[in-house]
Amino acid sequence: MGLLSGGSFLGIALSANALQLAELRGSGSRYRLVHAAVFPIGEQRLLSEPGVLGKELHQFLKAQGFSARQAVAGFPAQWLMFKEKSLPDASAEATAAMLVLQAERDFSMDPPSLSLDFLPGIPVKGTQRVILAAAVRDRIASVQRMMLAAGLQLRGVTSTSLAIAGVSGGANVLYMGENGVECLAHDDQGVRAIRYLAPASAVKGGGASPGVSGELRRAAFLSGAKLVSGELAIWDDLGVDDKIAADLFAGENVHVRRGTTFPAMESAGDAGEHSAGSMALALCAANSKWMGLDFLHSRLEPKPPRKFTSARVWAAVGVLTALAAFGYLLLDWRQNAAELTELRQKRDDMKGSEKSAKEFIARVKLATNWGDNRPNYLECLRAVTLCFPDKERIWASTLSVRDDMKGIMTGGASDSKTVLELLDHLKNNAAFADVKMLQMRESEGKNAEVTYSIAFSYLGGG
Amino acid sequence: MALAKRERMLVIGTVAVVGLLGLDQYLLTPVLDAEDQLQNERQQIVSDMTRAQNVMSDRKVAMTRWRTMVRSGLKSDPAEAEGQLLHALRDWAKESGLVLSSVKPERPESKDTQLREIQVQASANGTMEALTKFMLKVQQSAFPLKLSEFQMASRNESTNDIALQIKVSTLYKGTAPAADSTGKSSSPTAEEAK
Repeated sequence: MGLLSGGSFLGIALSANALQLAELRGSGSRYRLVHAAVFPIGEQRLLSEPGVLGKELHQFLKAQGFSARQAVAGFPAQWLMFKEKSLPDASAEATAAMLVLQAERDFSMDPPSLSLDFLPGIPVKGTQRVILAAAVRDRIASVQRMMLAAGLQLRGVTSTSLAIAGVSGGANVLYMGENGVECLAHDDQGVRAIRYLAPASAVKGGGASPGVSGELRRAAFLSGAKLVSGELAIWDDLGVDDKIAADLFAGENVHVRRGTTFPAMESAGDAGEHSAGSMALALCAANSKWMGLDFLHSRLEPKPPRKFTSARVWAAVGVLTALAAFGYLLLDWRQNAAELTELRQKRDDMKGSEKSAKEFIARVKLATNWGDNRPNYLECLRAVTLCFPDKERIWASTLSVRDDMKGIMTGGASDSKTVLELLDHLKNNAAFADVKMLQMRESEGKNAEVTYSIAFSYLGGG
Repeated sequence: MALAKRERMLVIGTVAVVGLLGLDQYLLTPVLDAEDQLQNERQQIVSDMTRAQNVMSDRKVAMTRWRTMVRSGLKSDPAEAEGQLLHALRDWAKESGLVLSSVKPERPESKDTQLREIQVQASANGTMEALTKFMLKVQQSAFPLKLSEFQMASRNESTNDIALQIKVSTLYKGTAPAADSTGKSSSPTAEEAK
């Protein structure tokens, strides 16, 4: 909640006998006071019966017209313990770690009974001054119970003076509230001290007693040289006379001015004249950066171990990535399997068509080959005829050729020389192969003739 | 039993390694193997389908050729085919000047139920010129016709009288088989009807 937020906010400045209440409403950077009141509580009731007190507070708020639910509670300086520490300049986390170790020795009370926080300082020459603050844990718990019973959401517990200093811009503060007079001093390195100076009774009524004035000056001097020579804003919720307030630092080199309103506030009017503490706390409810200290959300509280360490996050990312990859793999496999089933079905459907097409092609091929391989008998006859010698007396009487183009020719001639010449012509013709003389016989008689039989294979192309 | 940080890291590391090995063994590897198997089967199927598509393309070409054959006189009725052949022989003999003395048709048994042959043995006699003309007509036949045997002999050595014996055969389309499981017939006859 770093920025100013809109809505209604309640500031509660606690003291031993009363709760000073102020409700602010606004949006953006301007707030206005809508209700202011003082709720008296009995001595020690906050610690002994916070629940009952909370219910009474609820009734009181309702009766006074308060409607805000988000609240910040401010403790008087008297309820807080402060310790100035000088530490090496370090980060906020390292500073907190160092302070946690040292805090146990800095306060007399049992460390677990205290709630701690610190105000970081401005580092100078490698060192920083911090203000370690402590509040009794039981008191904070009582305030929480009271707020719960009153139906309020407690957003923080801080110092009232610190809240005033925060919302007023970091000036030195002298706050006169129901619980007494307290002082907050600044110097160049930030808050120097927060001190309880005197009870309210010391300044109420006719004027400040000389003892009180002296105590104030002494305390202010101890708070730091800057305060003694600087400007002091007096925030008076008790109605102390101006002259008395000015007299507190008479003779000192201190410019005293009376605080009237805060920069983030519209004019408070009469209702806000004696509600500086609670108004400052309500502004802190609207913007937590003004709180400075917050005992509910202390910087020194050990942070609970993170559920999501980087190792776990990386492990989770790794596992999720692996799961995603595996899921993708499975999905891809399932899609491929489905696609394959579809392809398998298509292939099976095509098998029947493929088989019938193959058979059809085979038959067409058979018919084509049957027709294409028709033997050319005329060519064969022509080739045989051309092999006969032209001028010799030789003739063929029979010629038979089968479809494998193997043939046998018989005939006769005037002499064997002519037959052999025919045989040579056939053998020398490339269109014939396996030319064999099956028989050649000379006939006896007056007109001697030779008969022959020749076998051949016709290859064609000759 | 409290474990030291180092021991805890060792236990976590061991469990992680064993777990990863188990995941690899029983989950990742089987899935990857199944994926590989799918890819192999897919390649096989795609190859089968490509081959089938090529066959179907060849079938289209064969169909064109088949229709040409049918138009050229490939008959489906054996009697019709036989008649076509006998008429052709008689006509060619007459046109060539051959005297056709005998024809003897035969229908030999064939394993092929779709393409069957009809054979005719014919005897004729005439001059060498007539025989040549006749043979030319046989060889230039438009319908399926094949001369499977040829024998010529001189009847008288002093004259141009030649006896011719031939065996010719023609094809006809046999009976169509029953349609296959896909409802498509593999018969050329059925294809022709489309």
